[in-house]
Amino acid sequence: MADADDRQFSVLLFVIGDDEGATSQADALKSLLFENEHSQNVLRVIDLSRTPEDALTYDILAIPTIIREQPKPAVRIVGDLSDKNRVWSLLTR
Amino acid sequence: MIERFKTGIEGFDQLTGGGLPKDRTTLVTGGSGCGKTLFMLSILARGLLSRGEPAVFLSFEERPRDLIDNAASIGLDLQDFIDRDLLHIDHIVPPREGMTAVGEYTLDGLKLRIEMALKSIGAAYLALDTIETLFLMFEDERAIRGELVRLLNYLSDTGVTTIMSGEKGDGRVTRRGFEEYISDCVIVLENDTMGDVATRRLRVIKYRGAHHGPNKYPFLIDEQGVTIMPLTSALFDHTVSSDRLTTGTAALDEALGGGIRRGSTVLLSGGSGTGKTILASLTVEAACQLGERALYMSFEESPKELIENVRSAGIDLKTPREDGTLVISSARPTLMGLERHLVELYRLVESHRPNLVVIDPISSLSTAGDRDAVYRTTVRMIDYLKRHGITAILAMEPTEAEDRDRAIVFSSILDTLIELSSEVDEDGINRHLQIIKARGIAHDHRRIAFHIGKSGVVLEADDG
Repeated sequence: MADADDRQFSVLLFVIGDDEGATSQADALKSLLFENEHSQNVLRVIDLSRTPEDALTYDILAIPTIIREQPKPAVRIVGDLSDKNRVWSLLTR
Repeated sequence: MIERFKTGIEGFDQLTGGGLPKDRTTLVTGGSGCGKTLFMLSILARGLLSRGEPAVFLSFEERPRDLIDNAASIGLDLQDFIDRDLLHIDHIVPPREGMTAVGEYTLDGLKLRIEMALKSIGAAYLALDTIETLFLMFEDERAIRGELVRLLNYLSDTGVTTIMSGEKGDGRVTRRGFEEYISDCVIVLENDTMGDVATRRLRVIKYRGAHHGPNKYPFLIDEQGVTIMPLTSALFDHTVSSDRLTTGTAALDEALGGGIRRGSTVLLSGGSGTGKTILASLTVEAACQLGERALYMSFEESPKELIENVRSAGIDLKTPREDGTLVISSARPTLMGLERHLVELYRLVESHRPNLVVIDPISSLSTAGDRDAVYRTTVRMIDYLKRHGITAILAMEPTEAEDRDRAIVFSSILDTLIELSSEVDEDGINRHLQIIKARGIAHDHRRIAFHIGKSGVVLEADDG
């Protein structure tokens, strides 16, 4: 199902812990990628409780935070994925 | 009973009765440039770090390098504390790409960062400068409010003491109007500019579980750090040899019913050249010879000029100055704001602990502020000296009739009012003094002639 654009597309999701909230956000983002014909491999879920130093590297204050690293320029979204259409339009801006 | 910690800011710990609340949140608010950042850094450095208590400074604005430089300008060596693992400065920068909020979020990332920073040096104290940046970054005011309350409660519950800065709002103490409610202690800093003179004032508008007054306290931020002048402070233990101070001339002592009563305030009022400085210096010389400590605040002459000037009347201020019993401070009134003079007096009194203070002339303060401000400042000075049982001699030059009215208003807080005058005729200078008022003393009401010569000051009762 992978799209040719996947090499130029990468998304980071920052969560803390692996509770229900964190899992459902990861799942929601994965299904959003799937619906839009992207591979789940473009997504990296970063659990800051495991790698807290990433909070410094990426200046994370809000949870959850999504960063589209590729393509440039980067896009940063904070908040849950309740409005999928809005999130997708921001990620593909 | 709230546990407190000392801020190390001179005056502040006195006026709050012991410092800031521990394990709670303190808000420092005010307009831009009022000194919030330096105030907080000073509390950290002087109150905590220098006592070996680690602290984290979370900066949303200034870079660590700039914080270190600014702190150095008020005599704080932050780099040293950083090197000793007592201070950790974390700088939070808004993301370059900006951010868009979609749906709900928490500030758990910030919380994680704070926990990491605190843990890295084992700190239980945190400064946040300033929370306003969070509102600007995230825009959703309601969400940030809720998250801040959650974060501060969490910190408090885990035994962390937080000092945060906020912005002054339009006509209210805080920009968002809620910061004061989530804080246990609220300090407002003000910076008013009157003419070219900036005046800093501090007010504690809230202190949960502790008494606080509505007063505004003048404060200074300079190379010596932050100094606040409390309205009242602990009294000194003076070893008092007698309840009177000699004026240095027996005839005037007699006219005053035995000298100047200790702890009282004497106003020497008279035009230029009537001998105010000479009479005041005479008292200082006599006091120092008897082992008293004196402070001379000279607004028109440098210490050297003053010493030279009174030496011509046979008065020696050089010796007591050299042996340390006398401190002469000299400052042009216009170069410092009124409040600054007040704080300077406080600072000199705290460090030198004089029994006698001369302010010469108090009227020259009028070049540093408007009349009402000068009046208020003078009253504050007198009140402060009185509370400490310090004898004060104020010289004043009444230039207009209005000043004389003011002297009468002053007279409610003055104990003794002596008017000096001089006329020149063919015999030379005729000098007179008259004791207008001497509270509680059966004093001489007559005009008394006196001479100033090489051998000193000589008084003679005038029968005319």
